[in-house]
Amino acid sequence: MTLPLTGPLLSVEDLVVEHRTPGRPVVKAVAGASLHVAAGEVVGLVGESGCGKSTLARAVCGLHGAASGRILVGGRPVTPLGLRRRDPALTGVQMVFQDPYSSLNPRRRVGAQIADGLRTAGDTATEPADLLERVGLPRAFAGRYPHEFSGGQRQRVAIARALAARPSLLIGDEPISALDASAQAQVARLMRDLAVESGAGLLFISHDLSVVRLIADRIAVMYLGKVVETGPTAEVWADPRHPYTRALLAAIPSPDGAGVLPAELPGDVPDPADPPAGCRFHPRCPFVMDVCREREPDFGPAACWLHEPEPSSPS
Amino acid sequence: MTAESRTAALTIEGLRVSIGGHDVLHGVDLTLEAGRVHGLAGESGSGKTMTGLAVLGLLPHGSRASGRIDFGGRDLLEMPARELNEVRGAKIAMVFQDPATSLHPMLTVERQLTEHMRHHLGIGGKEARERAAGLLAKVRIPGPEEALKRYPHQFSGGMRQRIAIAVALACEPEVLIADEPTTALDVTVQAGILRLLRGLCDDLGLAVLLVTHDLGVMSAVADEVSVMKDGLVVETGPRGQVLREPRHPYTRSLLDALPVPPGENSP
Repeated sequence: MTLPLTGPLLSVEDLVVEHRTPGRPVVKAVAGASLHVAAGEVVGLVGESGCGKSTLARAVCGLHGAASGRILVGGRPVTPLGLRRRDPALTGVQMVFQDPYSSLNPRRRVGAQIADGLRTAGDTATEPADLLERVGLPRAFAGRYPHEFSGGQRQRVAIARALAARPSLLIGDEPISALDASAQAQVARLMRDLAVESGAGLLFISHDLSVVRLIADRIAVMYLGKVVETGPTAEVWADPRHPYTRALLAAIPSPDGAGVLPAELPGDVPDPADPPAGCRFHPRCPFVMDVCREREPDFGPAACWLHEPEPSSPS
Repeated sequence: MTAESRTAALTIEGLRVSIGGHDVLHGVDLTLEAGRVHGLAGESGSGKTMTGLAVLGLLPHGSRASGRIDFGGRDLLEMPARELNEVRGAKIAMVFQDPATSLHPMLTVERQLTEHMRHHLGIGGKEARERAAGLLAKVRIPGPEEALKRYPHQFSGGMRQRIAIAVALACEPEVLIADEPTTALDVTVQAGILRLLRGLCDDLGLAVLLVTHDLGVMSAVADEVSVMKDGLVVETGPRGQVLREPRHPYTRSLLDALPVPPGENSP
């Protein structure tokens, strides 16, 4: 399904997603995050575990309702998935999940699962085997069951199934973290190539910065439910502005043989049910100032009082 | 026979392992020294983990191992199961990749920390408890006394891996085998765990075998680096030499496969 393109393909504005558990305080897993993905663009969303990356992805797919804020895909709001059939216009958003061992139906042949996607797109010309070929698997594998594949191959099948629905926006929620190290970079590159080739946008979520750096055009860094910095990957990598981004990058050990232990970011991620006042990063920030404890920086591209934009600039 | 070097804590000579008629290791030689971290690198399927498991006698059923694993003058491969049980967990300990699955979800941290301590060291419950609290403090778990009463799911991934390391250290082992100990963790947490491992190795004189595919991790903590390919060690040497001037073409190809760092900036 092609969607009318007005502005960015995906725009998430001030999204808040809450998790409610009886007897526990409400947890704002996503607390006012904004993000944009253009067609044909690969955006990498990074952050530590528990920062709300996956919840954001699930909200974009309609698997989680939003408490406030807006999610627009091709200009149309995303509605939460209910019992009824999904709005056909929203089948343009497809997701590849983290664990290929649980995201494929173990009792159906992979060809049949891919055919589901083709049916969704109303595609009668393509065969499931064609898609297997595109993800680098032999055509004959369409008659096999998921247990006959390795983890990397299963994830390729999951990607083929997502691509079958002709997505305009592909979302990968940690699609490589369950894979072997040698398969990770391959699968990540494959996702990038296929998404860009078909003109779709790709929102790639990962906690592995080195892989995101390989495939993403733009990078968005998330901390405790907020996007704290966005920018072109090369720029963010060369000159990270937010102290959190700096800490993340400094923690990556470099294989130079020098034996330098990577810098440690002190402290733990605070409880999202009770985030610190002011800037969410201030208890762990080495450059903390008075203003950080009182007021929350709600501007971009680096949400940090050190990088406050000129008064006239838009957020 | 003791090894020629007096610091050698564990020597693996010509280790061959076959599973179901398939050879997975074709003669691995490694020497672990006290107070040193020996890194073992290589792609998946190259036999890194199998080498680690062979040391502990934890190879899968139906596998055959030959060669020699010398620990304190005894061959671990020849040792009867009963004696191996005395060594395993007490003298040689292991930390696994995923702290979410390597800790028992239904036992308190105290139980997991004290059970093998009482078995191997023959100490009482109270003493074991005190030692357990001390261990948690050593791996820098905040509030060790309270932490003992909690269950693994109440900790974050990094904290769980710290607990798993504490469990491994409980009986004061001489050799620690760490199989991809930071692969499942965030980079910020990984940095803390690597510092912890390095510190423990220096302070306690542990001999550490660090199995990892991440050459960055290798470069940060390992003293010696061995590179494995298809069940063989293709190159061994000091960290600086292997990572900067690799002699074997395979090591070079591994290094070349890494994304090029354009002018690393210091924090």
